[in-house]
Amino acid sequence: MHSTLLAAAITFLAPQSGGQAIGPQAIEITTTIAAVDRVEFSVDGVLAGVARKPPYRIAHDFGTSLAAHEIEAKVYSNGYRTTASAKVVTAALTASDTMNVDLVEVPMRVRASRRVTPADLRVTENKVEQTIREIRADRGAARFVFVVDRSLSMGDGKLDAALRAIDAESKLLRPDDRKEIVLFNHSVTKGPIVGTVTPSGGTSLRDAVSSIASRERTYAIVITDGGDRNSMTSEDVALKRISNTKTIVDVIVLGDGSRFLDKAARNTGGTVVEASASTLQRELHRMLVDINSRYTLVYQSHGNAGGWRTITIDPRKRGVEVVNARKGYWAE
Amino acid sequence: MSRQLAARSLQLAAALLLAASCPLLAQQRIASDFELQQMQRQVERSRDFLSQVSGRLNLGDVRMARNETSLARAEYRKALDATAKERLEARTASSLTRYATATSYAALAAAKLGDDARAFELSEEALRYDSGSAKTWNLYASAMSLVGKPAKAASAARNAVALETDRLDLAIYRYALASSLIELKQNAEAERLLAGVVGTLRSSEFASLRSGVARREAFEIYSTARGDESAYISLLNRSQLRLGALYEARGEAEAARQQYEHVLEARSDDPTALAALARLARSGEERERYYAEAFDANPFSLALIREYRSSALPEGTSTGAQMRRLLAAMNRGELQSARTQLDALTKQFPDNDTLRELRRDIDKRASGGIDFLRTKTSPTASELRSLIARFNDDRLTAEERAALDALTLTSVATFDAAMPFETGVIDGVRFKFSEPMIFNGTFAAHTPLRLTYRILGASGDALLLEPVRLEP
Repeated sequence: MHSTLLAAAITFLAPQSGGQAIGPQAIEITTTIAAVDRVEFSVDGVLAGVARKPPYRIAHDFGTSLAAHEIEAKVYSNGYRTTASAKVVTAALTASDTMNVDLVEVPMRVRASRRVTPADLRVTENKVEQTIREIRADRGAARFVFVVDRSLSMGDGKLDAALRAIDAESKLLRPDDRKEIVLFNHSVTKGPIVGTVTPSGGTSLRDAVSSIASRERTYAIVITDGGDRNSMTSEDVALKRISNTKTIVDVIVLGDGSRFLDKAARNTGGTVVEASASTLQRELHRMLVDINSRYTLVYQSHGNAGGWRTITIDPRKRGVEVVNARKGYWAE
Repeated sequence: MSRQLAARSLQLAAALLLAASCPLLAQQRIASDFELQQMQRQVERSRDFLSQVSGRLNLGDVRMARNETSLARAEYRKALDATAKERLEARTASSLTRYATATSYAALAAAKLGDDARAFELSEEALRYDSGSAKTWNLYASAMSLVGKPAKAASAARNAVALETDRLDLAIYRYALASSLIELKQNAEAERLLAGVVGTLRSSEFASLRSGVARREAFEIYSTARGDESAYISLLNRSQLRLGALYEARGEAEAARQQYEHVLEARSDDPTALAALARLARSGEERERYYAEAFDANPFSLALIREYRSSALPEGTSTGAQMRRLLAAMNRGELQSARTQLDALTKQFPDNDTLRELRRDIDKRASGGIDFLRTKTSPTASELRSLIARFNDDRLTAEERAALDALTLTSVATFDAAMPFETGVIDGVRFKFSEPMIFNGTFAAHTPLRLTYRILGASGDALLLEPVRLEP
């Protein structure tokens, strides 16, 4: 078969190069090629239809995507011995047509003798003052991820205590919250717990914590005895992944603690508490009660480039004290 | 000191991975990645002979278990090179024991490289220099097992057992003996030995070793283990797997399951135990879960691939999930989608023989005949899939295209949704029309209907059809 590119012999009537293609639309060409056997039309590399005789036209539904499309017409002629093809590329919706809303949620603990309002606080992001949209006394529905260390060192009842505590204290979650469990040793497993979980293997703490990254409002509660022998993810990368606008990391440490977890909690506005197998449930209970009673400050970020954005929240008025709040986030 | 757990047992590891076959979130590591990482560190940081040779042999064995044969052979060759240097230096230093050890490892490396004659020769030479050493006999047994002489292997392993007094080494040699006996089909004695080894290792006698393991959170499994803790974990793992396989082979599912579950208590992502538990699952849900974890642990086990029959589309980004999606596409005959997925996996694992094998399988299925063009009879599913592959690969001749254009076919079709009809299935092969079609008459979805059509081409893994007529 002779395959040649004779774009000059094929002219697209619809759509035109640079035009927009959305929804049902005709694709049509005209050609000066003689003895045409068929014209095959492909959209983004996938055969969309075939026309055997003029007018060489098919109907095609481009759907609702605003992306550009590459449309190719391949003309077979001379008893399928010769092919010629031509392409057009339609235009995507331009950046100026879109609006980027960068809403930042800052969970915070505030001591005040009355309900806190936007007028009580001043927020800056990389020293650029921001306008507070609202301060909610209610944390809102959220995803709760319990990140539980199941490594060999979590024996002696620590793992059992952690799983029992999660089971017992999940009653403090709201009906519209979503609960997930991430178990980790040297590997990380998401999903419901099936059967008995035995402490075994090494520890991939950073891998596990960074695996919970999400654009959803997420409270990650990490229960571990610390240490990290097997993570593939570096501390910087892990911190960057979880330091977004909507993730808060709280930690219950059953052992020596971890510099990485201290930073993760500090960056995201969470807390780190120490516990033992016997006090774990009490600490988890306190933590969930505290989460349920946090304020959420919301503002629309402006005036800063991508990268790390440091958030500072200061009281404007007397009698208001910000105890703890997210320290910043990574903007892509 | 390096302990050759598996002269045979390495092969055993590979064999288990293949025959029995041996876990959600972001890109997850394959279980053996941890062993690879540790051994890479060992060969980079420790220059002594035993670190080098055990590191290279372990790396080769891990690569073999992942069906990365060329990488495995490269490691075995490096191990052999290390033994050549050590043998020379030992001769120069007039150290017979050192020479015998190096020669034993040379035999092992040669055996792993498939050079049976050289392996035999080297093994015999090592024994001539150091026949009073249990370790030498054990290495001899390992090499003999690899070169397909299980009787010699068993006999040598018995000598090793008879000579050894150290409790851990004795357990290792008993394990090696049991492995040889299994090859000789002497399962009763092998089972007694393995049960004894497992019982001893789990007894208070090894409590301090277990504490050390717990303190270090050690879990890596090696065929040539260095250090007591490493040898302990590896030996317990392998012994329980072998014992489980013996129980399984004789139909004692519960006893087998118990052994495999014990393995997972120490190593939650052991691919052999996970695959075995999938086979022995008590429910479809449990089977799927174990299969998912087994594929995450070792996505490239051919035995696992052969026994996996699900066409369900798993979620997830792990290599195991990608592999299961690929297999599901192959099971459904979606060769184009399978090829695309295979291409993505091959980019990540360019030296993998399993992926090459799957590509050969797909190519073979795609290159089937399309005789219906000549006979003008209703095409079979296989012919339709071959035709889709030829469209996608642009392998149809001008004559075939012209013949296809002139051909009107009739097949039994079911449509996915109520009219207007747009997509459906003919004999398990997906098809679509260029646009939704309404036919005269009353026709239901999911009901077999006689469709007369012309084939326009392929759109991914679906045929693009031009409908001519639809009848009940």
